[in-house]
Amino acid sequence: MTLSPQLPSSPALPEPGFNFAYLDEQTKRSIRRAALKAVAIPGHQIPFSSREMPMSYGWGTGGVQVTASVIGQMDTLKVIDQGADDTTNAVNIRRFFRKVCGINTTERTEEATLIQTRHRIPETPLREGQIMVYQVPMPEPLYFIEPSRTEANKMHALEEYGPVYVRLYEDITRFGHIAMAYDYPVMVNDRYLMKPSPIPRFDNPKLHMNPALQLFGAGREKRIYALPPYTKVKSLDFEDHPFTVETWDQPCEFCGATDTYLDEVVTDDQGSRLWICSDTDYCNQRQQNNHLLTPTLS
Amino acid sequence: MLTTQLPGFKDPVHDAQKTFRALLDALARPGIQQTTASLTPPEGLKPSCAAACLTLLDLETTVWLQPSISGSARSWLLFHTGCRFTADSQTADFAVIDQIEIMPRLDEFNWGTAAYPEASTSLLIQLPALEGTGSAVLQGPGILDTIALQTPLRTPFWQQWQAMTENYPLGLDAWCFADRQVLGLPRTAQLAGRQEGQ
Repeated sequence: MTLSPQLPSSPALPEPGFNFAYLDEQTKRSIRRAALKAVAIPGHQIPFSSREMPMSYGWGTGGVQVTASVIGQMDTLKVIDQGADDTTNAVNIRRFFRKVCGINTTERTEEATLIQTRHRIPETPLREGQIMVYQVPMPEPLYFIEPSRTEANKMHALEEYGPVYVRLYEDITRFGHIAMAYDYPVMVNDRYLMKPSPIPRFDNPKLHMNPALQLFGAGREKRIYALPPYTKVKSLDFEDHPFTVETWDQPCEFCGATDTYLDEVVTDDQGSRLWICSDTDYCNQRQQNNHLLTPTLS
Repeated sequence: MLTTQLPGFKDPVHDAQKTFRALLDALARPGIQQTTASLTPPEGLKPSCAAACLTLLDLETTVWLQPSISGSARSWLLFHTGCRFTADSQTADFAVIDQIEIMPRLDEFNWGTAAYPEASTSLLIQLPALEGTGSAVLQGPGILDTIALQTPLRTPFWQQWQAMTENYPLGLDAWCFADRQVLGLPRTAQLAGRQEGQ
């Protein structure tokens, strides 16, 4: 892998024959009303009338519908898939919005006003005014305990979250530690149990008191939920087994970062592997900066 | 009888989007003013409140109008959004208020249910200006530490608001409108302390 060239990001005219951002205005209004309720009740899932999108469920239809309802002509969109700007899902969704909105796109976290993400939060800290849109496969944290949506709603109403702690406790008795590596449940504003979408546990601390607005869209499950900026988000844990994040023994092979989430890449059939940053934008920027620094260092 | 209506948004798609973002930011950052798209409102509606109505209301929504709101505003809303009107504040998805002094008590609106707190009424409150002499200090999600407000909303309103926030997640979400500005007041905004305004 080398430095990926910056994609052209100048705005083009939107494709004729579509409404701006693909969705019709009636649909946008219903999604917008759901998103506003979601912001008012942080962590609580709001049902919405999820539409058929020109991609299959599991490819981010929930996130795409939220983005389409929020996005405007002045926005600059970044799309990441597992931290990478250049994977199939990210490239396709970015191209989709360029086509139906004619908006600017970027790979740089700090340039983006709107970031749609699948399963990562960028390493570069987010700022006020930015909006994160998460693609969510399964929004209901109680689903594995109570498959009925009506009953799960009652459990949320009664704050009946004991069984989730039992689930974490079972991990401790079996493995000696909580083994949930991603989609680690969190308590929002001391009230609602929430699934943060399948982000690695490493990213959970970034949810807490984040200056950006975070919106979550689940297309197949037809739910929207949100974290307003500066909202308390606590990962579930026990006093004697506090929440911890993953650490690695080695730095990123490309940029040398020691404080990022690393992906394991298998390089041959002899068992060789290397570890690289999952956030491609962050890694590229570090490599460029390291490159600039090299002459003075050597 | 033939009646003519004032137009709605100049650019329905982008003006609605811009207004939605103002409403979203207002709710996400309580106490910080946002600016909506502009339009020529009918008599009885502030420009920002009219823009919010066009952004939020459609055939699927039930609206309660404070009786003091003019008939021309009512027929303008009906013409542009097709919303349904109700005289029962308990059944309203949205309530438009233009005289805060004589508005119904907050508990006369729908606060939602324990399992579905989102089934509540949202208040669209029109004020002569967003700045006033009623003080309130708010805290909660969207607010780093606390934020001090100086609005025309006075002690009786804030007393009811405080009583309401004790029932969280049940409650009302509100936006305050004046001219082209909007201020958000989600149900999570709690009073941190209050000084009597004069």
